Amino acid sequence: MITQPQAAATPTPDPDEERRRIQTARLLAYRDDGPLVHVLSGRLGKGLPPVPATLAALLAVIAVTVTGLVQPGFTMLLPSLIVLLLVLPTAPRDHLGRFDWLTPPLLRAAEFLAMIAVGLAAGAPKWLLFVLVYVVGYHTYDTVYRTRQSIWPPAWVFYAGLGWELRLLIIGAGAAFGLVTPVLAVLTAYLFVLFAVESVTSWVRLDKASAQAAADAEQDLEQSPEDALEQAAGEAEKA
Amino acid sequence: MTRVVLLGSSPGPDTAPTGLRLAALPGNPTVAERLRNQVLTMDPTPATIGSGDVAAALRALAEVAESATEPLFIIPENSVIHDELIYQINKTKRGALVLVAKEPRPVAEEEGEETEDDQLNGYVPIAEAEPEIGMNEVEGLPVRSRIGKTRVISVGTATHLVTRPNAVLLGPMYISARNAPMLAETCRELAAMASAFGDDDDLVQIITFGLVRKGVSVGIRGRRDLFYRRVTSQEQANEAAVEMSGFDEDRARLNNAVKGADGFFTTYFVSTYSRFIARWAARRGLTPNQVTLISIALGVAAAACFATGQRPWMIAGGLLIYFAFVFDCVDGQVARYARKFGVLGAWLDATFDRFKEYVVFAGLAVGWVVAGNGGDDIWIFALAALGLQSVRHLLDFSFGISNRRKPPAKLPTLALDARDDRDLRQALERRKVEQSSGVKRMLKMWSKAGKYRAVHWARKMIVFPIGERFAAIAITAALFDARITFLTLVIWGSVAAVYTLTGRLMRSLA
Repeated sequence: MITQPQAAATPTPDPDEERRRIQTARLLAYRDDGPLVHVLSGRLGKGLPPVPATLAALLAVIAVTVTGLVQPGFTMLLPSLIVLLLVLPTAPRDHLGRFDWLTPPLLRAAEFLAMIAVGLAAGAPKWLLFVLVYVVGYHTYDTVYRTRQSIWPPAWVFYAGLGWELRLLIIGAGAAFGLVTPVLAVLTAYLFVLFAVESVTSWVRLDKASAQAAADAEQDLEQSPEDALEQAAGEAEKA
Repeated sequence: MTRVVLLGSSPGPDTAPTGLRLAALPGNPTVAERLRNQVLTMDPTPATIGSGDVAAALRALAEVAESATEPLFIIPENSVIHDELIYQINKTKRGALVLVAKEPRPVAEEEGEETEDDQLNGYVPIAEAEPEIGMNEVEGLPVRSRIGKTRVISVGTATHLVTRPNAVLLGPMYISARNAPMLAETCRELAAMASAFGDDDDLVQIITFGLVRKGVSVGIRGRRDLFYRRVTSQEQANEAAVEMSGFDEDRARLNNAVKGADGFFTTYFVSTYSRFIARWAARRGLTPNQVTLISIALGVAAAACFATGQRPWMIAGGLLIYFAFVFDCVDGQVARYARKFGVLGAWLDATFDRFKEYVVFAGLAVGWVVAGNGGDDIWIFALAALGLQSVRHLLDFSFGISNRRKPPAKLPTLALDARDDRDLRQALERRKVEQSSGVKRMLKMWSKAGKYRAVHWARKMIVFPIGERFAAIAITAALFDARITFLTLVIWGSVAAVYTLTGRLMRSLA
């Protein structure tokens, strides 16, 4: 589960180590794992490598959609189950690999695609799907834009937001039982209210001056853009 | 806050700046009075390092650096400088920064065109150049520093040789809080070897000499469109005051408020004039967040126009979405120009950029259905455009994180008592060779190709940045219909995704 990284035990943590820890916590937050992943991740042992498993899930969802396997009835659960089965076991991994940054975008792509495929196959209103994808996307953007300034959304939002896994299960089950429209409507309305109310109350309550100071202090931990560019390209463009 | 350190005139002609008056300025202040007033908001009680004995000065500086918990801004007390330049130097994101001036290059007589910095310079190539003690002078300072494109490569002193020196360190210097302990340590070691420095070695030059040899990346910037000068006589002070009044500081501040490195459309169709709207808004007392609200209102209005599905309204929608984007650029410029930054403002701006874009998608889809162009399948196009753009953004964000996770590359170091900088240059050369193997070499060639304007802009456009997206929506929706808009977004977006993904996978591999 995603919580604000706790201050390290040592009084003066190594800045490089500290930066790596915080950035990895952000990457994990972008996955948007929910309560089910949280409960299970401790019991999955070593787990699967995240990028291959998530990529396989995305491709498999594309395959079952294109081949028309998703039909009214219990096959509606197929895309959701594929994603759950392949991506859930990646949760215990530390995501420190050099390609592991691909996991959140691949996972979000698989989630969106599964939602849209199931919704369309079950005959849900298309505009409702559009709103749902925007609301889920908003939550991810919100996580990015807040953590960018060292402000962490409270851990309970990630639980209450149900995570990608419960959202997919609910949509799949709703479609399997022929209730896709009411289920989508309730889910979309619930998530919309949750994320909107949480954002507004968080910003109203936040002590903005000290948050600004904290964000500025953290800037010092980050590599400057020039340094990063210099490293990536051998030299920066201009002084 | 910043800890400000005022340096008494360091070795060299010593004229107390307290005696120099800037008669052309209101209040007839002395140079030192003016500077103290300028840094008052940063540090009401700046530390002052006495002039005279170098070793004592270095030890005093070490003490200030040891006790500092905030970034340090070091500046000679006899500086005449624009407020905006102080501000810009302290806004840097680098761990250390010095203000530099390049030595005007002797013109190569036979060849008319300018040569690359590291290549032929009229005489021997730098690889064969002998280290030397720099004896040329620029603005009263000895030319004993070698600067590259982004940072100080090597610094010498009266007894330390430097290869092909090309610049002087003017004086102002920024050190981040993280680098302060390193500065303290360096100053102590330098104090112990003070006899190695000459009368003409400047204190900032000596400090930078130590930092660079200790492997600190010291960034550089020029004065650009702002004024800086050290004055040591009343005559120079008079000249400086006159010269400074010839600069338009407000214009420099406004130009600095425009974010660089934008896309093609933003650079040529928005940034050319958006700064004047920003200045107008700032002078009317509009806050950045109010400008963001204007932009959101324009975006929603555009979506409403598109939702009618009628041609005249579609054209109006195209115009509105363009101005929504203009005001989106203006809010950041107002924030930078008025120096009003806030965590909420940054979040609002970013979050509602996405909202504006996606609400327009919805408006276009509604308009298509309302106009009776057929069923609601247009929403599938809208979903594709929305999903693709969201995932593309997440690719950017996640890759950014992986980049920040990498530990910064360590620069080579050199013992403070090494007589010349040959070992340093060789270590840098080795590093260059190591880094130019395989994929890294390709990436480097690719980034070097950016010096050609056509390549530079083509690369900026292919990634389909926000300016291009808003322009594509405005034009296709006004001239054609929603389906064409979504197709454009999906096709261009897919090309962009493949292009950026290729580059980033290679960078991850390198």
